Formats: sequence, structure tokens, C-alpha cells
Amino acid sequence: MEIKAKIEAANAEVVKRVTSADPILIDVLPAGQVIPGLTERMVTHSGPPVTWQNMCGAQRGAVIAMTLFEGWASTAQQAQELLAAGAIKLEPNHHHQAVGPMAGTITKSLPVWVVENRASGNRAYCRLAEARQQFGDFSEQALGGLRMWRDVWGPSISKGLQTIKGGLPLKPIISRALQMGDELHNRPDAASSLLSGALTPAMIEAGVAKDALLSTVRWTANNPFLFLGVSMACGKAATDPCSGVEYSTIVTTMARNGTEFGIRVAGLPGEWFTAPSPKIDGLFMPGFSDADAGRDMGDSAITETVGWGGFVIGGAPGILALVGGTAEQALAWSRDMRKITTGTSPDFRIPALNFEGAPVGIDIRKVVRTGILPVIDTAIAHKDPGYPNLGAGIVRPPMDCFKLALRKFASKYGV
Amino acid sequence: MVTDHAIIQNQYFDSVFLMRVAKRISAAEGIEQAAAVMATAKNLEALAQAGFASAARGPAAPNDVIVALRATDSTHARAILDHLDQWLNREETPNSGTTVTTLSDALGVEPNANLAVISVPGEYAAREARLALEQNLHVFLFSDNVSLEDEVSLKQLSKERGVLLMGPDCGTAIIGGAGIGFANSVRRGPVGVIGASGTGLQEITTLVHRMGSGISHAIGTGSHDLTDAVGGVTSMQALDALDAEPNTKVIVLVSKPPGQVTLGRIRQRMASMSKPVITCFLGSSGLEEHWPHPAHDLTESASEAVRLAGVAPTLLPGSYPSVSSAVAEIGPHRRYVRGLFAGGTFCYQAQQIFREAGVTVHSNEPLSRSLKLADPYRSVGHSLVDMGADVFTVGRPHPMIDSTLRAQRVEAEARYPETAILLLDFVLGFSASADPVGDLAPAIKRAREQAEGQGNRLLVLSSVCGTELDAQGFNRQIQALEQAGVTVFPSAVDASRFAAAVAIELGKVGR
Amino acid sequence: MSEPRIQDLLRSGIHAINIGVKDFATNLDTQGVRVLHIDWRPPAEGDTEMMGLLDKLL
Repeated sequence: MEIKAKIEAANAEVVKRVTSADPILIDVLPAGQVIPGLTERMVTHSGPPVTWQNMCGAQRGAVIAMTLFEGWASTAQQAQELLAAGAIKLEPNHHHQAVGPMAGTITKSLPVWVVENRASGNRAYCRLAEARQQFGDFSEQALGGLRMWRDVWGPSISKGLQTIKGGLPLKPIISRALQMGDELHNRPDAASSLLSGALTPAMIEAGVAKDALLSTVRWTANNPFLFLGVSMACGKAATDPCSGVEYSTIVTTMARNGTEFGIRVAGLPGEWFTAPSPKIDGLFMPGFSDADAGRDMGDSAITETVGWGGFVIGGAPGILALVGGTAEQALAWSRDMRKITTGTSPDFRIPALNFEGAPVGIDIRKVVRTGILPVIDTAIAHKDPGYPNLGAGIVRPPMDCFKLALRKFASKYGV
Repeated sequence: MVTDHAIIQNQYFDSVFLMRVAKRISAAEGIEQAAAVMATAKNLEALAQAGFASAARGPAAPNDVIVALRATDSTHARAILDHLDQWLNREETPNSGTTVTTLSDALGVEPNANLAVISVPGEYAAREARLALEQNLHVFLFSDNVSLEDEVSLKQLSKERGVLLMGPDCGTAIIGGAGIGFANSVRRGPVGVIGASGTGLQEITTLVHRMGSGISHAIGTGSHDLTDAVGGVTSMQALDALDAEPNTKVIVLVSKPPGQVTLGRIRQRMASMSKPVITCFLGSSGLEEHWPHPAHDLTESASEAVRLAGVAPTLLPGSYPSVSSAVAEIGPHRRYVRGLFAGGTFCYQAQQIFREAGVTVHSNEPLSRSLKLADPYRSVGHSLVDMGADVFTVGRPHPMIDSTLRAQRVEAEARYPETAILLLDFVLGFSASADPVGDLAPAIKRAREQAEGQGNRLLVLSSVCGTELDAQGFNRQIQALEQAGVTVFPSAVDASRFAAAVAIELGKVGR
Repeated sequence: MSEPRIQDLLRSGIHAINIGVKDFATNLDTQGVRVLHIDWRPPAEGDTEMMGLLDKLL
């Protein structure tokens, strides 16, 4: 009985930390300036550790793109040779207080969103979300988008954020967006509009030059996925302080690299529990099908880890079509998620789900006991490099991740 | 193959929604591929790349929807494109929402529940029963293959919590007029029954009803309750409960012979009870003398109970030939009784009756080990087979639900020239087959034809356990049996006695 | 001396939770008994090693 009580207490502590997180958008800065441990010739990527040899097609494409972006190679062929020779280090974003959607690739010159959790003082970083390079596209067009972010949009937003004293509080945006039908993963549209609306006057106030301002505002105002990078950084900032809470069985990380799906658990700091990444049950852009799809990829499951995304899909009518489309199903999925979580968020409530708080604290014990796996809604990349976004769908982590973690937990805590 | 498209102007749909529409259209008759997108530049490019060049040319604005498809012919294409409204508005068939999956969830929804009915596979049964008992719920535990160790521990827990553990291996109960598991519809009345056997409870309760009285409660105890290992925990609780319960005037206790120690405990308890207790310990002879109201068999249990409750038992109707005319009907070389029982207790009781009549019978579940059939599928001499035994039911439904194996056995027995009599039971009520007689009738017909084909008869004898309140229709079932040339006896005891008497005659030299 | 919980059951009748074969719940419902059917699945999907760990942890 004693250990059960310890687990309950530890889990309550973790839920408290997650729900009392207070994320603030501080700045947008080149990754090399802010991300700890990001060295000269390093590409950090989504998901658990993986070698170049084992990387999936789309993630390789994205890494090649970053190699070209940094100028470490001038052709894709050269880039591949460098990577195959091990000349460029590859490490998980998660080991560097960072996250990234899809291939999630970050290098020193790429600006990242800087979010601070004012409740616990730690910071987290996320790259921008876009529809080409992070899906494995290393064409000039894809690189062009990254360059605009590096040279124009990122610096403009950074200037604007300097004028907001103390940084831009994100909790109000998140609460309102969840009540406007967002789930902050594949439907961050409302949050993106709200963020764009907050940044625009700030950039004007900061005196951003008209050409840059116009270009940036056109981009932020028409980019439904603008907020995804920010929501992911918020999720990361909320969960990092939970790592190392002894006896806790709560999941602090769910992340995929297109080859493996990995989870980490609060009471088992520093350890990944991985299994082969699953295929996504999806809907596709014209001309594409399941046969073209790669496996599940991205750090964006950090949103589900803190109770957004698939965990509140019932409140996101626009995305219901992904899961069959009826309100009953949406409610059912949310109910299922409550069976595997520990508490709910007092601040983030979903009108369509009777204003229930988002479910927080995925408990590996409950997942294994009930057989109910967390629901993640996600975008789909091609299995080969060189393609943009293929579609969207639903995926669940492999049960093995949770069983491995549970076995390790029992062994570590002497059960 | 034709390609075609339609444009709906000035209507916005979410891209994911449109992808699902495209998926549904693709599955329609005559459609090979479909795409549905808002006409943004990027999407037009995607359409072109997907082979929908003319759709990509538009003209369409970003606020318009384009639906493009490839179809076997233009009729199929237009069938979709001319009715896009339907595709864009149609609701999906709703999936049922998640249901309750755990006991604690269930108690959250129904906090006043007082009974857990558990019929999960044996390896999970003890655990589920424990969870329920720990919540102070009574438990009806249908599952069998619970270890003795678990059973003893669970019975102890039920005793501590002051709740009934009906089981493990409990097939039947009737509480407050409601039947649980395999049970019959019977009227309420003053007779309370406590039993270790499901079919035993079914036979007694239905006979009590047909004799004109009724049942207060029938409490199943599980098949091992009166062994010394378990010590009669549930039987004792049930005796106490029925003694105190105002509607019960007389109690019947039915079981295989109890363990010695438990026997003593029961007798001691009975001495201080305020109501008469009829004891029926099937398979034991000689115990009767020491008990105040001993009943020899299930039928006597019922008639004694009804009598002690102050009701003159209605004689059960039934017309059947005399033993000698039955013997005369049977072909000259035929000698043996082959009983094929769906109810294990009927098989057991029949063995007792045959033994008392001095007729040796074999069985797959014999009264004494030396009479065990070497091959349960092959009868030897007189054989009474429990078709509900594990060997027959692994991986298949019980014979009270599914008659496939029993039908096959009926025909097999008929093919042996030595078979004289088929002795069958039919059990009605909840959870039993919708038409137990109908299920077996074709096989019985073929069996009788088989015998007639050899120029002589075999006799088919039966009893039906049920009441006119059961859904299967007691009288309809009897009629169907008679139409199939089967003789119907008022109770299993009557059928067994008759079969034994005929067996004795068939065994006489120079018949 | 009869247990109050048992007396209660006999007096007030069954209010059931059904765990397992759906047919049992259906039949109780037909008789007007209040019954909630649990969509039961083996705990830990039948993995006995996991069940053993969960017994100690959950």
C-alpha cells in the first residue's frame, strides 16, 4: 500500500506543476544564441535518439535541408556525404529544452520561439511550424521559407516582443482559443489569429520597417499553424520541471522521429522507452494515399502530453472529421482520455465538453491497466524525402512503450 | 475512365472535412478516385499533380470548393457531382460512445448496485470477484476453473463482508423473483432453495411451480461450497438468511454429499432453525435416516417442499406406456440405455437412480471411478453422458445453448445396434437455447428412422425442465417432442426410473 | 443471525453490475431488473506480468 500512496502523492505533485505552469512568450532568437548545448555543427531533431542510418526518409530530407540552410554543404549530395560520415551531430530536441514539429530540425541560425514558464523559471524553445521543410522537403522553395523566417519574420516578431514588458502572457490566448474550437495541435487556427493580433501592434510600436512589417503580418495573419510552435514550447516548458519527481508514473514526453515512438516518465528521468513508430490512420491530399505515408513523426505530441490536441478533440469541431465526425464520438474519446489521466486543468476548459477541464497527467499504470492508449491527432509526412505535407490523421503510441516503462518503474522502485 | 469536376462557389469547408468527403466519395460505386479542396493556388497545383488537370484550370476562386473525380463512366461521375449537397451534408453513422469498462466506473454510475454478476474467463474470475467483494457487493460468480486456494480466500472475504458469494461455478439463482444466469420463470411463493448445482436449482424451482407453489428465493452456492475445504460458507449464510426472511416457509438444500465436518456443521445449524429444511444430497444413500426431512431426489425435494409449505402438490401430468409395452416395442438385439444430458445434475441423479435399481452404468462423470468411460465419445454398455463436461465444452457453447455435439451423439448412438433407449433432458429458461427441442428434433428423427430402417425400434425418452412462463413455451416444447415420437415424462426422476426399469427387463436372458 | 446486507438483498431485490457475458445483462433487463453492463476487457490486455506489477502499483 505504501508505494501506491507515494505514487498518488507524486502524481498529484506533477499535475500541480503542469496545471500551474505560466507560459510567457519572451522572444524569437537564433537557436544558437539560446538553446543550451546546441553546438556549431549540430542538428537537433524530433523524437528519441536516432542515427543517420536509421532515420526515416522525411527526417533525412529535413536534416539535409538544414545542412544546406547553414551552408555546411552546397548540394544535397554533399550534405548526405557529410551526414553519412558523421561530420554533423544529431541529437534529440528534448535533450536541449527544445521541441520541433514533424522532423523538428533545429540548427544554430534558425530562430526559435522562446517561452518562459514563469511559475518555475525554466525556458523552452521551439522552431517554427511550416508545411514544407519539416516534412522532408529540401527544395529551394522550402529553404526560401526558412530564410524569410530567419531574415524577416523572426527578427520582426522579436522586435515587437521587446516592446511588450515582461513578455506576452500565453495563458489567456490558450484559454480563449480552446473555447473557440482549437485543440492547439492540428487546429491552432484561433490561437494563431489571436497571436497575430497581439504581435501586429507590437511590431508597429517597435517601428519595424514597412516592407518587413507587411511581409511578416501577411505571413502571421494567414498562417493557421503559427501558434503550433508556441503551443509546443508551452507544453515543453510545463513538463520539463516535472522530470525527476520520484515515484511519479506520469508521462512527461511523447515524441516520435518517424522511426521510433518514445515516451519519458517523471519518476524515471533521463530514460526513453521506445517502440517502432506506428502508421497514421489518415486522410490524404489529392493524389496521395496510405502507401505513400511515412510513420508517425514529431515532438508535437507534447501538446497531448499536457492535455491538448487529441485529448480535447471533442472541443474542436473543425477537426472532428478526422475521427469520424460525430459529437458522440468526440465525447467518447475525451471520456476515454480521462480514464488514463490523473486530473484536469482548472484553467483550460472546453465548452463543447460541458466546460470540463482538459485531462492532465497520462498515467502509465492506467494506460496498461485499461488498454486505452492516448489519442494523438497529427500531420502526415511522405516516407521519402522531398515532399510537403501529405495529410492528417489519428495515431496512438505503441502499448510496448508503456509496458517497458512500467517494468522499469517496478524495478527501480523495488517492487 | 472519365475525369470530371464540379465547383461550388463561395462556400467554405474545413480542409480535413473535405478530405473525409473525398474519401467517402472514393468509396462510392463507379468512382476510382476523388479529391475535394478549397480552390487555393496550392490546392489547384495539387489537383493538377494528382491528374485532375481540367479541374485545376478552374475557373475558381480560393473561397470556392472544387470536387474532382475519376469514374468508370460519366453516369457514375454525374451521379456524385449532381448531388454534392448530399455528400457535403451527410452525417456519418455514429459510432457508439465508450461504455463503462471497469467496476469502479460502474459504481460511479450506479452507486446503489448491490450485486456483481461475473462471467469472465476463469483466469480473471477470482480477481474480478475480489474487487467486487471488496466493494461489499454480493457476487454471482458463473465462471469456473477458479483455484481452490482462490475460492477459499474469496469465501472468507465474503464472510468478512457479510455478503453472498454465489459461486464459483454457479449457474443459477433467483433473487426476489428475478432469475440470474440460467434460470426459469417461476411464480413467487414460500419455498426457498439453496443449491450447489444450477440445473438442480432449475429442476426444483420449476417442479415447485408446476406442483402449484412458488419460490421465495433460490440461492446458488457454487459447486464446492459444502466441501470441507470451503466449509459451507455460503450455504450457512443462505440458511440464516432464509430462516430470517419472512416470505420463506420451507427451505430445500440440494448438493452432492457434503464433507464430513461441514455435514456436522449444517446439521447443527439446522437444529436451531425455525423452518423445516429438506435436504437432498444427490449421490449419497443412507444419509437420509439422520436428517429430519431427507429427500431422495430432485422431484421428491420439490413435492416435499410443497407439502410442508401447506399446499397439496398438483400431480404432474404425463402419459406414458407401461414398462412391458415399451420393452415389446424395442428391437430384439437392442439392450442399452444411452443417456445424453445437457444438465450435469440430471446425469448425476440418473446414475444414482440406476445404481439403486441395480443397473450398472458408465459415465464420463461417474459416481464411482471404476465406471469411467475410457473414451467419453464412445458409450459402453449402459452409459449416461454429461454433455456439459469440460471435454465437450472447451471452446464451444454449453449444450443448453448449442445442441451441435449432442445432435451428433444422438445419431452416433442410433447407429450402434445395441442402443435401445436414448434418454434426454431439455432445459428451458433464460440463457438456454430459444428452441432446445427444435435444435435436437432433426437428429432424433434421423435416429429413429435409422432404427426403423433396421427393422426395429429404439425408444427416445425425455423430460423437460421448465414452466409455461418460460419464453420457449413449455407446452410447445412438449408437443414438439411428442410429434418427434419422443416420450415425455413429468420430471427427470420419472424418465430415469422408467429407463432403469426397461433396462432391467432388456437385461433378462431370453427376452 | 443473518447478515444485514444479505437481508437487504433479499428484501429490496437485485441492482446489478454485469461483468462478462452480455446475455446475462439482457435477461436481467427483460425481467425489469436494474443492470449496468460493463464492456469488460482483460486487464492489461491479458498480460499477466503487467497485471502482477499493477496489483502492486495501482
